[in-house]
Amino acid sequence: MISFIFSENFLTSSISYALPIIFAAFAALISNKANIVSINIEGSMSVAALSGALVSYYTQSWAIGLLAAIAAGVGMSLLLALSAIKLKTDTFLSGIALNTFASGLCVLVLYLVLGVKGDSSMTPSVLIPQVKIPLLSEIPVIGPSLFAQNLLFYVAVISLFALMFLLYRTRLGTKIRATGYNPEATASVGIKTGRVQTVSLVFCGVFCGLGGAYLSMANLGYFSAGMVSGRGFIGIAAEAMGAGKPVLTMLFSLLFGAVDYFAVGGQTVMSAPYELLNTLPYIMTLAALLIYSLAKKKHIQT
Amino acid sequence: MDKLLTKQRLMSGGRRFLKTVMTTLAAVAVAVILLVAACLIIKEDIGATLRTFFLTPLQSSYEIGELVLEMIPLLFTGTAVCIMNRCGQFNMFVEGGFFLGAFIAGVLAPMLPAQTPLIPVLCMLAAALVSGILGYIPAKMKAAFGVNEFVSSLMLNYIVFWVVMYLLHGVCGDPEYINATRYLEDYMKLPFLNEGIQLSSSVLLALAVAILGGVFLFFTKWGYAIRTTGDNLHFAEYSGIKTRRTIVYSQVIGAMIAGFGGAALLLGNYYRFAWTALPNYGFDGFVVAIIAGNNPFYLPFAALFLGYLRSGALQMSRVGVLPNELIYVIQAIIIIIFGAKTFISMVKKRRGGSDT
Repeated sequence: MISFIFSENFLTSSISYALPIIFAAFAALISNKANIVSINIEGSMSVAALSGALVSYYTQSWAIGLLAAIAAGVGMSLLLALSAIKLKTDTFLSGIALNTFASGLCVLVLYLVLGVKGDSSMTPSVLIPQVKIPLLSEIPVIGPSLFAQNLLFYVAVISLFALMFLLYRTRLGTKIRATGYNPEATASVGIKTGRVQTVSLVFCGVFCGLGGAYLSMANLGYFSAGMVSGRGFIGIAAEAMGAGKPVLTMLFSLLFGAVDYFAVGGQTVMSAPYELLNTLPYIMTLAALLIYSLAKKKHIQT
Repeated sequence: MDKLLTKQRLMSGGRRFLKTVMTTLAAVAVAVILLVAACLIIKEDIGATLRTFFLTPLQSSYEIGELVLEMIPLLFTGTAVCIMNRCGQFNMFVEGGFFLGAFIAGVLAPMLPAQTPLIPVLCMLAAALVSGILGYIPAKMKAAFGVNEFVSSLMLNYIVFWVVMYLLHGVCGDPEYINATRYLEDYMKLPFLNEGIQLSSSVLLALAVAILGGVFLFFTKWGYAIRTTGDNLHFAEYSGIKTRRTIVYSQVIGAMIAGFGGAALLLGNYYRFAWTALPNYGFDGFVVAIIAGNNPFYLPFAALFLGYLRSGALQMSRVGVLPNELIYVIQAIIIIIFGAKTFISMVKKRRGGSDT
């Protein structure tokens, strides 16, 4: 088992299991910064995964599929903006509604387009390619893990820097953080907070789209109902653990990804029943939330 | 002065009624539009589809029995969600608690000796107890450490699901029947009111729980504490309410009702526990609670309304026109329509009322 954890494959696989969580956590981060708790990330990723899978199959192009997934993620975010900002339905309720909407919509669309209910394995997605960076990927141990990954891994790394730049180096980022910090005060200096929140939700949608596309166009070659299986929520937890800081958020997502892979990969090297191994990522999330809150409480008290 | 107050109250009552009627109509309109749109896409007969959706649920006593069956989980989970929502707690463990309650009843009932009196009652109480204990975890984490109960309760749902699957596959399942618990004999089950249409007495329990939930929320000091904490945490604290304790017990009671309801549904209407996925009843409970304005007394009406739509969708999927999951799309739109503050104020403006 030790050799399983310290194998080269473990690092590579952990990263690929972490990718959807990283995108979900980034999505949570950018919307949280604008004071919107978007629990609809789970549903948005599901709709994006479906959209990516179907469009990539029908156009036979992963690029158009990826764009369609992003468009679907953004579309779901705009629905949240419509419901929570425009109609002023409670954000939490809107999020619950959108998750419900997503689970119904995916099955409905699958049925209307393909005539089946469960998954799109009959119409396999065109996969997003692996990209091998010459020379760097030859480095032992970390080479294959970091420089011969799926294209979306590099997108995630670039997203990290883009996110930091956006939040801390641009006017828009300042507006987003100001809105999150104190909406009333921000509105009083003439910034349209609703618009700022909508913009940050659009970014949130882009990340949901990337995460969803990874699930149905790289991780698995087709869409299957329920394939997000809580990763959106785990992403929210990772963001909470990272205290809204992009780098920390990414590191915690990687940790969650490792546990996620351990639950799957561990089934081959351990005799523990798979049902119980499957609980690991969720137990870990619960424990992590608890530790995080305890640490925060200590910090406030001292 | 008194007269004025009464008049205001009547007006706000009338306004609320008008709002409910309008939102309900809007929800039905949305359902119709969705159905028509879906029919246009797959080129189905619109008239026939609408007839199936709206008329088949009342076609015969058998279909009415099915409509009642749809209402049972909605009443239980709706009551649980109302109590937690009133306290401002978005706890999703209703989903896991209901699932767990059904499983516990399915395992426990065949294990008890046949001469044990009140087997169903014992099973339902055991289910409520275990669900309550697990519901304490996210509740305590929220009250003591400020852990978001929404995320933690969702994680707990997944954990409960996989542990139940483990037990079902390995330890507690019927060895002669794949992925199910042992067969429930008649003496283990809640009695039927009408065996012909499979109408079980579980529906009476469900109605009783909704009404008791309403009494608890509006006529006891614990209910008062819950509502005050949910309305304004600081005010509640200043007026001497122990808000942390209130936050904990509102969620524990919600989880207990969910567990009790899961057991009652299984012992009333099923012969084995054989669920292989979370049944989504917890989220349905959210929808029905929103329709009822988080007031358990209105739940029977809300459950009838939503149950009617759900059983329409079920009938339609049986004919093979559209999948049952269409109902989730309708439910999502219902949440947004019923929850929209803008919509309420729109109605108020029409009536020329002030924003009170």
